[in-house]
Parts: sequence; C-alpha cells; structure tokens
Amino acid sequence: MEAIVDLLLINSDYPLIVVISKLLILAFGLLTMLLMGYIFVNRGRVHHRQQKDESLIEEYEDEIIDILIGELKKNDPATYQDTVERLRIAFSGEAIQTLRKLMALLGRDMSGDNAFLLQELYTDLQLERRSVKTLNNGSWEQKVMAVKELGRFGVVHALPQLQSLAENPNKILRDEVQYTLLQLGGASQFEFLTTLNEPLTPWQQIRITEVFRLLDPQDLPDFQVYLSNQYEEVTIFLLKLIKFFDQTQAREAVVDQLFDERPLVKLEAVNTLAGWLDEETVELLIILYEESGLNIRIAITKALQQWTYDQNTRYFLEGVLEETQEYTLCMSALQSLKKLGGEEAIIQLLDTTSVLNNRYIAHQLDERI
Amino acid sequence: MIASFINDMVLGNIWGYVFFGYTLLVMLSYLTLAVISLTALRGYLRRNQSTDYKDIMKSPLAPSVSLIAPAYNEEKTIVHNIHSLLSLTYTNYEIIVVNDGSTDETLSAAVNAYDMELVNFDINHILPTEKVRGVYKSKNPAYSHLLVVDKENGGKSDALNVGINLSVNDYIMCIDVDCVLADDALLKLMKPFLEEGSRKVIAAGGVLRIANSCSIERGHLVESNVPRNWLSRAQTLEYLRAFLLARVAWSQLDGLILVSGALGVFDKQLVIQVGGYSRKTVGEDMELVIRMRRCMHEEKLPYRVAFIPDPLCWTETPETLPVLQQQRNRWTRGTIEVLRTHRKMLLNPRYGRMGLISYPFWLLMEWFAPILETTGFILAIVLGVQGLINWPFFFLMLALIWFFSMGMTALTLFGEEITFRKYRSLSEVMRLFVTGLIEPFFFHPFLVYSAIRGNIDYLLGRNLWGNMTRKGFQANGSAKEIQVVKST
Repeated sequence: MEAIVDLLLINSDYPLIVVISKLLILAFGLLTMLLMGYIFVNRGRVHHRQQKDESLIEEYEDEIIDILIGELKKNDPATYQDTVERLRIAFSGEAIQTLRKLMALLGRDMSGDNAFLLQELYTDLQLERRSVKTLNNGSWEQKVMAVKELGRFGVVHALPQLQSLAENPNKILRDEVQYTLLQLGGASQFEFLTTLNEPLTPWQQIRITEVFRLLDPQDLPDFQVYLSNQYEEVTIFLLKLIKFFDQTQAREAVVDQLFDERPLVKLEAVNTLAGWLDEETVELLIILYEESGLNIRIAITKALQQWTYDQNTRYFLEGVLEETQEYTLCMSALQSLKKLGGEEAIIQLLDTTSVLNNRYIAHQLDERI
Repeated sequence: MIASFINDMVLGNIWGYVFFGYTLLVMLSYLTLAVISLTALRGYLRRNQSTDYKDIMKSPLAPSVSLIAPAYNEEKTIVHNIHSLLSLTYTNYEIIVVNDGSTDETLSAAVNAYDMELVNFDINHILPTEKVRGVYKSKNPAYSHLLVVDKENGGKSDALNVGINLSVNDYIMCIDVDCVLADDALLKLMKPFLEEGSRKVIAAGGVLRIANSCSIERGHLVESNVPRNWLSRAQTLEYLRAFLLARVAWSQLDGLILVSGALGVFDKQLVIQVGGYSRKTVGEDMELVIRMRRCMHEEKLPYRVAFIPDPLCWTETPETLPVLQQQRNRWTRGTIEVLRTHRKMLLNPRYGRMGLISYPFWLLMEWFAPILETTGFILAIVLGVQGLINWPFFFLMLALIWFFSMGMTALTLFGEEITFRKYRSLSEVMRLFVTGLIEPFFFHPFLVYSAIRGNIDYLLGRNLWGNMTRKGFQANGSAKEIQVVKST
C-alpha cells in the first residue's frame, strides 16, 4: 500500500513540485485576471463604438441618399459642398471606417447614374485620395480594402499604383489587385494568364467571372486566344468562360480541344460545344465516344440533347442503352432520347432492353422528378 | 529544494516527478493547442474580413452540393427544420431528407407541409443500404430542390448512405436535421474547397454552438443566449473549448480526424470510393474522416481537412443527466470502436501526423484519461479512509488543476471575445465564467462517469444509440418535450 501511496504522489513531500505548483497557480490566476479584465474593458469599448457608428449612420445615411437621388451636385452645388464638408467632419478619425463601410454598402446596390454620383461623392469626400495613399503605406489588410474600393468606385487613374502591387508577395492582396486590374483595365489586363506560376483556384475563377459579368460584353477578352495554357485548370476555366459568355467565334478553337490529351479538357470542350452542334461536330463526338472514358461518354450523350432527332442520333442513343447498364450513362441517354423524340421515343423501348432500363425509363417518364 | 530533488533522483524516487511531469505535459499540450488556435483564428478573420461570399452564390461556377439530413422521429420539428435548410443562401444545391423508418408522423408531417407526392425515382445503389420505400417530391416548384426519402430503419449511417446514393451533386453536406444552420453556412463551408491549390480538400467541418435558450423563429436563429439550464451552460463552455481552442488547432496542425456528424461537407467521389458511412460503429462521423484520410495517405495524394471556425450550426443539447449520460456513453463507444478499427495507424509514420499525433492523443486523452481519472479517484478514497494521504499536498494538486481549468475557461472566453462575440451582454459572459469555475466539481466528474459507463457497455456489447429528449425550437418557449429514441 505504501508503494502505491508513493507512486501516486499522495503522501510524499516533494519541495520542488510544491514550488512549481504554487508558481503555476499564480500564473494561471494572473492569466485569468488579465483575460477577464480584457473582456470587461473590450465589451465597453465595442459597445461604445457600435452605438457611435449606429447613430452616425442613422444621422447621415438619408443625407447621402438625398445627394444621390436629388442630384444635388448638379442642382444645388452650394448645399452639396456644405453637406460633403459636414460628412467629412462627422466621419473624421476612426469613424471614417464607418463611412467607408456605408459607401461600400450603398455602392453594392447601385447602378447607372446613381452609381456614378456615388463615385463622385467618393472622390469629393477625399476617400479616393486616402485609398490611393493606403496602397503605399498601409498594412496588407488595409491595402486589400483600398484596392476593393478603388475597383468598386471605378478609380481608373489608380491603375499604375495598382499595377505596382500585382507582384506583391501576399497572395490575397495580389489576387485582389488582379481582379481590380481586370475590372478597371478590361481585356488588356487578362495577359496575366500567360505568366501564371500556378493554376487558378476555383475561388479565383469565380472572382474573375464576377468581374467579367460586370463588364460590357464588347469589352470582354477573346478567351480562345489564351486556350493553350500549361495548366489544364486554366484551359477548362477558359472553356467555361467561352460557353458562359457565348463566344461563338471560338468554336473552331474549342473543337481543337477535343483532341487535347487531357481528359478533363476534352470533357469541358464537349460541354462547351453542346450548345453549338452541327453535323460535323456530332460525327466527331460519336467517334470520340468510342475511345473515351465514362465521364466523357456521359457528357457526349447529354450534349446530343441539343441536336436534332435524326435516325443516326436515335440509333446512337439506343445503342448506348443496349451496350451499357451504367446508371448515369443510361439515364442521360434516355433523357436525350426523351428530349429529342418525346415520351414515345422511350416508351417504345420498354421491354425491349433490360429490366434495369425499364426502371430507368419509368424514372424518366415521371414528369414530377 | 534542489538538493531534495537531486536526493530523490539518486535514491530512485522518481515516480512522483514522472506523474507530475505527465500533468505538466497535459497542461502544456492544451495550452499549446489554445495558442495555435487563437493565432489561427486571428489569421482566419484577417484573411476573410473582406471576403464577399455572395460571389459564390451568384457564380455559374459554384460547385453543386447535396444536403443530406437523416431524420428519425422528428415529427415536432421536421417542418421548421426543413424550412431552415430551404432558406440557405446558396444556389446550386439540393436537399435530401431521409426518414429512417420513424415510428411517429415525421414522414407525413413533411409530406403534408411541403405538398409532396410519391414519384418513380430510380435510385443508383452505389452503396448498400436498407430498403427504400419511396421517394417524395413537392408539387410546388418553389421546393423543386427538396427530396424526402422514406426507408426502413437502418441507423444514421444507413440513412446517410441512402442520401449519397440519391445525390446528383459533386459534394455532400451531412447534417443533423434538428440543427439550425446560419444562412451563409454553406457558402462558408464551400470556400475551402474553392481555395484548394496543390492539396485537395476532402472534407470541411464547422463549429457547433448550443441552441438551448436561443431565440429561434421558423428555423432561423434570431438571438443567441447563454442557456438558462446549468447543464446546457456547462456544455456551452465545453463546446466552445472543444471547437475554438482544439479543433481549430488540430486543423492547423493537419491532424483533424473528426468532422462532426452534425455539420460537415465531403468530396462525394472520395466518400463513395471508401465505401460511404460505416454501419458497424456509432462513431460514424469520425470513422469516415479517418477512412478518407487513410485512403489519401495510402494513395500518397496531397490533401487536407478544413475547419471553419465561424458559428455555423446551432444544436440542442441534453438538459437532463440521464440523456447526457446516454449521449456521452455513445460517444465513448464510438471512440473505442473507431480507435480499434484503425489501430494500425498508431504511431505509424505512413499516416503522417494523423498516426503520430492525432491517434495517440485521442487514445490517451479521449479514451484513456477518464479511466485514469477514475482509478485515481477510487484510490484517493481508499487511501483517504486509511489516513494515508498528505492532505496539504493533495489540495495543492487539486488547486493547481482547478486554476488551470479556470485559465482555460478564461482563454476560451477570450477567444470568443476577439472573434465572434456571439453572446452580447457581459453578464452572459460572466455566467459562462462562473459555470467554468464550478463545472470541475459537478459536470466534469459526470462526464468521466458517463465515459466509464460507455467503456463498460462496450465490453458488454451493448450497442444502443440512446435517447434524446428535445424541447424543439419554438419562439414562445412553450414547447413540449419530445422523446426521441434512436437505435442502430
């Protein structure tokens, strides 16, 4: 029993452990007091700041909207100047962040003339000057905010300063600069694709697409020019852009991608061509079907939904159903047959193929699914 | 003091130092995790402070997701819970609610509320499951992305596998149907998948918060409050510690092996490749993540498991001791089953940090620690009765542990303060702090007891899911209690 007592440290006298324990108790006690003290002080600070922000926004939001709706700058320049001056005084110091947030919030929902007036107000409030200055001496988070604002408020003359940040080591800032360059500079800024050191992530692709959606279609780059890229992710992205922005002039270049060695590129080329089929392409797709894997086969079968219901297509799709029982492939073949030839086209297949196909046909015939 | 130490060493009286060293090691590891978490949290907020998640929502390139929500005897809450899922801010998604053979009116409640009818849906049986009785779709086009599946009871894993079989999208999000999700939960959980560069993101988990005493209207969180019930309040603190101070760090260390079953997004192709959810364990969430990670290690593919620290999911916790005991009993059994199934990973460098750090940590801290604590407790009583305890020393050790626990509580609340600040008033934060001061005497021993019961039940082969008494989320707070019995 005594051995157990010693082992468990219960009846022993270890002066070193006692001292360490007491020191640790003191340290944990102090740590607790410090952290709880911080929480106590911070709560008050945050509460005060929130109240101040809310009252400022409540007081001046309507005034800003009046400027925009009443076109005050044009109709009553003196009052406009006066209001701008009052806003600058009210939102000085830390409160300027509140004004920037408010402007960003308003900017998100505005377009046309109102957006233009908001841009002017952004400049007149000297926020533009402040943002450009931040590009040179702010922290990376501040720079990101400034870059976003410059893009949102269309400050084209900030392009040189923005370009100087395009190679910044901070990836988040670098990406944000790239989106803003595209937003402000349009097609000419798309050249960065040719010098990429790593493939674009899906997130970057989404952001770039959003920038392009805001541009006038005639200002969009000709995406086919960039299709030959070392990264398949980039080529696939470009094919998606070609399809999304319906750049039909790129048709031949997309057909060429059907012969690319990379299966995912081929797959996306099939998806892109689905909307622009002609006899020659359909023949090409049917040849490609024979030598492709499951995913490309499914894509080709789906693509044929966009074609006409001729005898060749029918034979091809029925042939697919005869040779496979793979769920997704059968379903897409049936879907295409139904789309092209109506319900009759698949009803006549009942009991002529496998039991599994009968179930798939029942699924396809149910209009509620 | 030093002379005494040297003397002890010379005489070979080292066990005291070994045990004390172990205690210090445990404290140090938790403090290290806390520091890593706090640093990572700050980094996460800095990186995302200017992120506009709406870009994902509007984009034609947004990846497609299937939300799979298994439901068992949820008749009182199912309608509001589906409404919460329908309100998520995301465009490219479908919802699959799987009624796992409920014995109440769960199915009819959902079918009636959403104007649904049986359709001839043919399921792709990629993963083996219990028989599916039928698939329902709504006649209302507004709910065209909602499917309700009725199947024979087979447990949560089986229900999730049915959902995977029905899913037509690239990613699956598995959730507990009784949870309330933040509107932007899906957007935030999908972002790591979109940011993947050289390393494939195979899964992403999010933080669970406690919904007891929160104000929830039609499946939406209106106001977050600290629970009035002391047991739930102690669990609130426990969840905050676990998610804010531990899982964030494990994710940062690339050692995360648990994505909670209540909220997780997975790469569907990989889930299918590894065979879906296992029906052999009640720790199916952890088991799946480990199997997915093992697969990536064995194929030598670079990957990561992401973790989003934002409070995205609000769940109801047990408010009575018997229900809590059953839940923790099940968690312990699940942990043992998973650790046993994947014992090959222990200290195996082939599995990287998962085998060298995460697995041993779970083995020692999650499974073995309660056994060690109980042994110590029993011996302390026996020795105390015999008068063999040096009481001043004993109380000094207790005080050390209590102060450490207090420090961890303060660190947790500090982490919440510098990040999400979900509890608005200072008095609520103080209530949590006070709960942290007393929970080592009541709540923690009860968890240890539940874990021991779990070990005993595991040895005896008892494998029930347990009961969950739920109040349901009602705005007026006058909801009846609901008895939910789940079984595997």
